Amino acid sequence: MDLVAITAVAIVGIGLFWFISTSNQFTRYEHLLKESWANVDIALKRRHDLIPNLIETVKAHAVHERELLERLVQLREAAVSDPSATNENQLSQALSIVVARVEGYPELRSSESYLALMQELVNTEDRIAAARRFYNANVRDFNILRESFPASLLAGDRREAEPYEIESAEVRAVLPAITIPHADVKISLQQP
Amino acid sequence: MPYPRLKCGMEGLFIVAGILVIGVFVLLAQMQAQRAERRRTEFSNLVAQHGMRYFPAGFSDVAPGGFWQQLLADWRSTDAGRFLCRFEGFEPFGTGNRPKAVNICYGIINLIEWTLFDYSYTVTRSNGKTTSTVTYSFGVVAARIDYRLPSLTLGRESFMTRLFGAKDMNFEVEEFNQRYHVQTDDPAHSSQVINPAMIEYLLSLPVLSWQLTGNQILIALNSEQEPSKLFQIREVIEGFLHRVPDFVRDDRKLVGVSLESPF
Repeated sequence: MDLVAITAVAIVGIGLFWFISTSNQFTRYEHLLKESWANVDIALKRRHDLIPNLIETVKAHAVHERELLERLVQLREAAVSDPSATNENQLSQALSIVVARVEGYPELRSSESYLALMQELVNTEDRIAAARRFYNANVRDFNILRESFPASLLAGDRREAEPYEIESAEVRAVLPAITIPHADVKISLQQP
Repeated sequence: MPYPRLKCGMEGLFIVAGILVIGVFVLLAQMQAQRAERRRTEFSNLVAQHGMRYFPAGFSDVAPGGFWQQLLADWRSTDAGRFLCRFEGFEPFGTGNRPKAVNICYGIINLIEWTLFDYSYTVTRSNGKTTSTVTYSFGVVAARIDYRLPSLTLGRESFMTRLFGAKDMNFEVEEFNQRYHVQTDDPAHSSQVINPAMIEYLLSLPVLSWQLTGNQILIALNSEQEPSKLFQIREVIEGFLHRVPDFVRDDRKLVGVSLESPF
């Protein structure tokens, strides 16, 4: 009889422990998702803030690109009001076109302000990529937890989190090549 | 009278065996000395090639027991303390007694401070009747930089680490997740450092035990290593540091930190 009681208490204890730890895990992931999304948002805002500077710098040298720059302004405004993946992707495409067109203006390309701006844009695109990767990693972990049995029993009305898929790599690809010193160094280490 | 002849023969045999044993010891000692000399020469050559400085004697004049405790209490009192305390918090430092760092290669190259050395410590065990002392040796390569890295360890993923290891940080490349066990206390910062380029780079290398803390990165290889191997590891770490994005360096820049020689 005692053994039955002990077993019952142990089962209830284990169940309670699982319930509390899984519920806390869900809460932790929800906070992580919010925090990591905030990082994406900050990185995107940084890009939005850079675009007016870029437009001013390009406008001074490349008067024939007025139409393209106007389109960039419109897309920026759309992305600022709604930083959805669609708007951000359109902005990325327009941005990459502007950067590619600048290749035809050697004076602009060699100006100090433009080079500094490009360096800042490189950093910003890297920030966006890093923030997006971290957010998507949290989305993946949250969704795995939400769909795994038996944690799925406690998922309740928590909806599946959606990864944020933007193509910042498109802009990064046309930016001036940032060389990685020693990237070509061939290292031959024997497997330990 | 066969017995005395046998006794005489046994004595002779013992003498010959004794001479042989002594001879073997002398030979081994000589071979070890030659090997140590050859390593010192190799270290000297490599250090000259890389524009670094070489300290063959290193630091071994440290207290015989409870060294780490003594060091923490009065850590700036000795050169050895100043040197070894730089690696406090990294494995295998802080363990055992009689820590010894020899064949130290030191230099600052492109704003990275490099320290390569042979490290050893002893552990004495006693069961009440007998006492045995074991010496553990390592080849250490450490880099100090002027920005902060996340506290992060990367090592080989195994069945045991999957089962008993602390929570592993996973990335978007499954091959990487299967090869590396990644532990960190700052996943956001770590994911900035372990970016796709870094993942690709790490996958191109054999799995090493990476330790990142503060503004240092360190790899300690078990047992004494060939000097050329340590310098190869230096290049591997250099490749790692060059793949850290610029914005991470800018955001985590350490103000007021200067890379200064402990010598």
